[in-house]
Amino acid sequence: MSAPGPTPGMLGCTGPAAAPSTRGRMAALALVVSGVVSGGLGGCIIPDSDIDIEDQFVNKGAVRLVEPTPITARADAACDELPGVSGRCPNQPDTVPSGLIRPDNPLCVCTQGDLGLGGFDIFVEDPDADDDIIGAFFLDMPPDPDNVQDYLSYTNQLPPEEPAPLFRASDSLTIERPDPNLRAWAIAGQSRWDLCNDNDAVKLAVGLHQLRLIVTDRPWYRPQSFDAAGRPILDEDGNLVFGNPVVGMPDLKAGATYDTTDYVFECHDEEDEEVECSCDVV
Amino acid sequence: MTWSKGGFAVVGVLAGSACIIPDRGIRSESDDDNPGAVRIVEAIPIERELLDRCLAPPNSEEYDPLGCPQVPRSLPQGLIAGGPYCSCPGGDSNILPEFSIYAEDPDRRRDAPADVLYAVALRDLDPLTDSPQNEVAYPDHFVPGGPGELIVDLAKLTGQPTPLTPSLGRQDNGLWRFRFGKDGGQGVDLCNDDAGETLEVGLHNLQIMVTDRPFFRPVRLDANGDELLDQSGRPRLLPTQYGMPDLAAGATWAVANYVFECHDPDVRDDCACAEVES
Repeated sequence: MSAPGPTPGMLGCTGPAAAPSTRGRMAALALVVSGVVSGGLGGCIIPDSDIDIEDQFVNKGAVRLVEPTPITARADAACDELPGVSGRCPNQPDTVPSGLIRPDNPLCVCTQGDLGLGGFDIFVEDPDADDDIIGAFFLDMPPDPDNVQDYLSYTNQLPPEEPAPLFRASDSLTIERPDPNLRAWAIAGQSRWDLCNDNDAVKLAVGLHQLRLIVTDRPWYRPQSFDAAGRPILDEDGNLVFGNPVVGMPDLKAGATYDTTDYVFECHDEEDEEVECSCDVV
Repeated sequence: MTWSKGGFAVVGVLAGSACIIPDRGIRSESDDDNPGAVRIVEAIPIERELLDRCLAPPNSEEYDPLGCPQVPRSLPQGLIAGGPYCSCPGGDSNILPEFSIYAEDPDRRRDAPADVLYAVALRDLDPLTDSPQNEVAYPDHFVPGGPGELIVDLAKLTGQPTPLTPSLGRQDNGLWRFRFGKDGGQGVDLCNDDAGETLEVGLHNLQIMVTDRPFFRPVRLDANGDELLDQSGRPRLLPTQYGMPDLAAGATWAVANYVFECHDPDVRDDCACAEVES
């Protein structure tokens, strides 16, 4: 639904748009006046209202995890009346909703392996098209861990340095907002995600578990290295030396934004006779 | 945006002795009504080194506010700690203390937020339902569709263990707070006071949905499917569908989820059920 912007190269020579706002007319008029006046003075004074200078902020748009929402019939009908929208309101693509995971089959800790969850996508948006979005899972992480990386998990499903690829743009219809640059990680792909038995090949304990997802739009934070006297360490070229990335710590100092969500799931005991585990299926 | 909205601009440029301005690095404001999307924001663990520098005396060499938390601490999403919370006919003495949900929206009008944020609590929402408005929960503790409270000054937020610093990287996105719990901080009896209902034993999901437009309110239709108008010629509206963002108006939405278990007091001997008055 985004309106086309000015043609690159020459500012504002794209012809009039229909029904410009009063504010728009005023600004344009100011431009005329300033142009005339400045022409006489041999200078060029442009009012800066309604002009947004990029690079004032290093990371203008924030990353955002998204998932679909249920839509009522009347809401769809309201969308259907809009030009360019046919039938239903644009929604986010299907995924496993965050919060309590309610699998079709109970998730179990099995001697061999469990059927697990079907593959699904995790969706992220960032208005800044050039940003790479990375993310990582953390299992049963307390609110104040000494080291977030101690809880890094399921890197076999979500490698923490792997940027989310752009999702099919045709599925990103929006109303009154620009293209959100939707990206997605395919978790388990066409296969299954054995949550209770394959945390990087480690089985989980029976019981409730919490999986936190942290995504960010900058590379993970890397601590600066100091010598014993507390002085910054420099490399041969005089550049500051940094340590390894701290996965799970967005680089706030570099202007990173982040988003986070949680999944809660229960791993049952395959010996529990009241639960119909799907261990044998594997 | 103004540049593309009139021959005025072209005339102005020509009259101004051919001011030629490359547009690289200049971006027009969007013509979209709601270009920025709402986000729920939550604190995450911060590296010790960054916290130490955040907490160092401001006049010291170690001080660096850029690694300070940007978002107030509150109840983390996911599994709610504490309890045990139990399904008790007479009520549970283990209550969830009042907590806050924070959200932001980048849309600005001059130096103020362009959008007001609204929220609703939903319980055990079926993702396939076509009636999310029927899953509105805890209306006594979280006003359905109520607006948030704009936090004007981060520094005045009380109860934060470390100072908060706005993001280095971007414009002020505003910060909105929604409080879940009875006024006065009495908290919520999660398993026994969803509009007075006692919940089934088992796991439950509480979802807070935040949106940047008032929730969708359908127009009343006559038997032919035509809009019914009032005496002033305005559409007559049906009740608001809380939980349904007004997508046709360009609303965006975000959700936070909290999971809790309601235990059976006949099974767990550490439930704190109040005695039922006979």
